[in-house]
Amino acid sequence: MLVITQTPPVHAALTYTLTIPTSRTQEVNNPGVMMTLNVSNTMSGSLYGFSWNITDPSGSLSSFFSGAAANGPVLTLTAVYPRDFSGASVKYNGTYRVNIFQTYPAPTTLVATGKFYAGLTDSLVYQRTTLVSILAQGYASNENITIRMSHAGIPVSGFPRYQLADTTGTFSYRWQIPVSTQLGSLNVSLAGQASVKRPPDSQIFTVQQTSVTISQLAVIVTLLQGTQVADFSFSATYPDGSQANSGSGTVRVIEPDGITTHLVNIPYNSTSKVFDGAYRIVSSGPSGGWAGVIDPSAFNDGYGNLGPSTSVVRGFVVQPVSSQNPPTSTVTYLLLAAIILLAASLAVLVSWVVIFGRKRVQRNVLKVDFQSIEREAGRVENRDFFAKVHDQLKQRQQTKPKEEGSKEDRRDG
Amino acid sequence: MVRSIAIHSFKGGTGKSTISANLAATMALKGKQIGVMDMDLEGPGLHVIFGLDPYELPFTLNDVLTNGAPPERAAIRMNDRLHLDRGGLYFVPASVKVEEILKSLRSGFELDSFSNAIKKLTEKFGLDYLFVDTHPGLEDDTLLAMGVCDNVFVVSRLDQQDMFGTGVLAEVARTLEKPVHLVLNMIPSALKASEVSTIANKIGANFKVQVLGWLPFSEEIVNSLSKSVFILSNPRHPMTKRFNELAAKLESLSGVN
Repeated sequence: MLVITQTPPVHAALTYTLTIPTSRTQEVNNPGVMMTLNVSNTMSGSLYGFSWNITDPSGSLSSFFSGAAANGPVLTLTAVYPRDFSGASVKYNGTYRVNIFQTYPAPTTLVATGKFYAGLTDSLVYQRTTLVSILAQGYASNENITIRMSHAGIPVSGFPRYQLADTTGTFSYRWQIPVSTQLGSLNVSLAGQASVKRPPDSQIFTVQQTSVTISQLAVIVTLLQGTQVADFSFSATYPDGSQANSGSGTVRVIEPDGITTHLVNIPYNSTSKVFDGAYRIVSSGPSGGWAGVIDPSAFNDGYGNLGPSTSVVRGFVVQPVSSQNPPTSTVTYLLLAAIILLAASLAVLVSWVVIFGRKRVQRNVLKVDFQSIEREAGRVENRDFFAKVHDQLKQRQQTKPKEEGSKEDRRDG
Repeated sequence: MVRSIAIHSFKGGTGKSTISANLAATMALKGKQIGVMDMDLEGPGLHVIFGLDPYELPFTLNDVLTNGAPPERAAIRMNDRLHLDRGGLYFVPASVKVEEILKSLRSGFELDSFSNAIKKLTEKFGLDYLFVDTHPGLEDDTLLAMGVCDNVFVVSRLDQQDMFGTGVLAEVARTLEKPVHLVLNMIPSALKASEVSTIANKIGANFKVQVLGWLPFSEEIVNSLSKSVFILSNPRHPMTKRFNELAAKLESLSGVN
């Protein structure tokens, strides 16, 4: 809000306050910039007249006259630029200077001043990936406009671009700032083929880095050649919903003691289209609850866009290597491997098709290997915790009929 | 009587939490009293969909399971926050703090404490349904939820690994004598409804599970970045209708009403 007050010697008791809530607007402003003049200590029934004069950035002056009889100690008058000013427009970028003169009662005196700015863009500061809306007017109908965007005098990738103004000479262009755009001050300028604007359409705005959201960290722990491997993966998303596909993140792997940590760099995998990487748990590594953490700003897409804003945590359980039924000898291992290979081959032969979708989602795509399913289910059901849950559930089922029976006995009794 | 439903998936990213939150909100809008529990203790995420700052939560499910905190103190009534003018929606979040996650994993899980938590929540809030959103895969906490809840919903995509995992989950749930229902999610738009029905029926028959329904892939849901309950911010969207249909099927399940 811009407030400039001046107390002139016109009437010793009068004070003037000019308020312009919109300090900055775009060219082609609609509905306009509202300005309010409050005159205090007025005399009820007395007439007051004012001339509102605005000089635009080209030096052109436009005026608006307003007046009213006060009906109390405060008189409030408003004016909207350019609506109330004959021949006025917001077709130049720069400063619009406001001077208000009291014309009645005489003598004519400057009582208040103010200013507002008009620019090409809808904001002065943007984060990468956001949309810059550029508006301008004062060009010829359907004139071809050249849009230039530069950083430190060097054109931004993809510029200059060209687009026509509409039939009224108004120009509108929207640009989504790429994630790799240089940070800092960018200059945008417009130039028509025929029209020459003085001052020219040129403005500076600031580009800041954007944030990256990582909503989940996934981990799969597998046994590979006698060593457990934790495979981490995550997706990183920009505010516009697009996915990051460059840079890397750091996962802090925390051992069950909560103190010992290991750092794992997780780069982008262009094949799986996610960030993924593995941490190999040494054979002497403790079993139990581990955690992987992406700390705030531990991800950088390579252009300085950081994330996440808060830690993303994923816990995982590392079983004792011995409980994973490792082979007891090389011979046993080879035998087991051969059996698994044979079983898998047989499974492929006897597996059948579940899915009959479109031709490209056809029978060769989705197959179900029941033997593998039963084997995996059996592995789960052999776990101590499963047996514990199963037993407790059984006990409950056995207890329930007894309880219900005793209730019935009580009722019968 | 409350029906507790454990919502599982074998792999992450199947839309399990999205389905939990949206199905819960849909049921609440039908005037039901609904509980939602984030049992994904290793990687909680439901609080994001419900718009809660996880660091401001005084009590979480971890406190209930590891410190004996009263479960009703960890429950947050979400009606005002979600602008739900019907029913009731109570959310029990999980902790996002590393030390609490490690503590939960270290101390293990007890059937009785979890079972009692469900019972107390039900009694305190008069719940009609309780959705328990679990950790993907078959970890101890997943088995616990499966064992304690009345029904098991398995969320799966039409994906080779998901299909395998769905088979394993169904097999394990059957051993625990739990009824299993399948929800197929993120169905490719290239498939016609009739084709999906055929596929769903075949999967159901071969895994001996009842198919509760299927949801198409929705770019709008993906673009919402799990930052809100989709059906509440998009009441006229076709996916909202889908969730209503899914909720109606849930209500019509024999023995679930």
